[in-house]
Amino acid sequence: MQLEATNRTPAVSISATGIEMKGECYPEDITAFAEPVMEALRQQLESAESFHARIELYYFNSSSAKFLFDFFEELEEAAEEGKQIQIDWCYRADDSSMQEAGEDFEEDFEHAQYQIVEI
Amino acid sequence: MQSLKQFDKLSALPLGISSNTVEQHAKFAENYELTLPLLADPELQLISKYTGSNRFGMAARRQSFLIDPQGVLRKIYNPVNAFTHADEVLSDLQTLTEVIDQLGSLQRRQREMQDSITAARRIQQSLLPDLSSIENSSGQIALMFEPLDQIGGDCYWVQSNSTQTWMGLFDCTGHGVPGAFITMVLLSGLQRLGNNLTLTSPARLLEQLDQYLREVFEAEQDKFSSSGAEGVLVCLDHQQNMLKVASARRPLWVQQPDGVIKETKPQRRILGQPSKLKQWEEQSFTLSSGSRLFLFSDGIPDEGNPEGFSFGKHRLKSILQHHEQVSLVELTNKVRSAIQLWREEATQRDDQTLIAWEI
Repeated sequence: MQLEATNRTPAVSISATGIEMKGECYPEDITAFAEPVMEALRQQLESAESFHARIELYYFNSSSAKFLFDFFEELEEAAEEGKQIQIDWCYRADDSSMQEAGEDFEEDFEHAQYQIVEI
Repeated sequence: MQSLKQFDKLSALPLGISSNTVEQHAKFAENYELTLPLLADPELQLISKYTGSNRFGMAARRQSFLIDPQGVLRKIYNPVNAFTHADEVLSDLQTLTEVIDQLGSLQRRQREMQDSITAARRIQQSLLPDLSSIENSSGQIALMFEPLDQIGGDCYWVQSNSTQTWMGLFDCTGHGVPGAFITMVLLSGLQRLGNNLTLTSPARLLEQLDQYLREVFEAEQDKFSSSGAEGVLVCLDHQQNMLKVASARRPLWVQQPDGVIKETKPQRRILGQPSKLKQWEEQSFTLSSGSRLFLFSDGIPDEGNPEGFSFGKHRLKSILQHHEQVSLVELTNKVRSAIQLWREEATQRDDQTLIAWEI
């Protein structure tokens, strides 16, 4: 699955081995964006043994925060089932908001490998 | 002339103009039995404006100009092919008429939508409390309220009696119309639940509000849904200056008279959404008189500059700490201008609300 970035949604690329998300996320209708992404993620996770998520967001709004919760929960559950899950939360140096957001999400992971990466 | 009628049908008026005199034109029209209006411009006053040339020329080439009803020059025909010209212009006119019609209907729809949002804004405003109404009993309050569109997902709520003052700020998911819908549900729920005068616990009220929102949004929960709200709710006991706070993803900032802002850590859950956390927690502390409380939606720290970097909580905090001597109104003005300066030509990302309260 390949989604081009718009000014309100990030570029998304999902393959059998991982997902990459890059850009800003504050769509008018989060469901229209999130539903196909979650669907594709679930499909790939089902057959994957290991999966790598690279998230590079510059901004997301509160409805997108809910989407990210669900998104990470899916990955954490897969890790709990024994799959090798690696998540990189990437933030630009000086972007303390996205650094803090990354630290905030960290608390939710027990089984998945989660790291915060300055880029 | 067949084509003149066709021009007339498209509400277009063809005009001829040249540097000839009125008499010369009259003769010309008579010779060729022309019904087309001819304009005489011997001084080239108008001609020079269109051609950029005020030169009297013997070999003046014919040019045509298509001008729309707003007076906008839409097309220049240069050179003009006498055989195909009328058909070419008629076809362009047809297209232009269609575009103008479509534009008109879009503008009409835009205006209707704008009117409907303006009416909706009045309704939303009428549900937002007047914060100054509690100032006598509860101290000074200043508000910065900047929805991204005319209506938005940020809202606030106050209630005060002789023993306590309640204040809440909520940032509903989304902005614009969907955000505003959730604020209506939330505020009406709060009004009903908050009317219970025996209430003394913000955690208990948030719990009830959470329950209420879940029931309302239950129908939606089957699908992928995200409706809900973040928020912070405080209750101040006037006798003891005891403050209780409960919150969902929104912090409360407390500035005691020593000047340093301390943040109460919010719970990581969204009102109206399922959560692993079972309990709503509450923190309480005693405030000295002159303490300041700050409640704000994430639209303030999240405001982006043209490079996409967020304003951030640190900048907000340093402005508030740096200006602890100025009045609250001045303080919110400083925050507003700092945000505008940060944004430059970027567009606002989200609804922005800041409540500053000095007790």
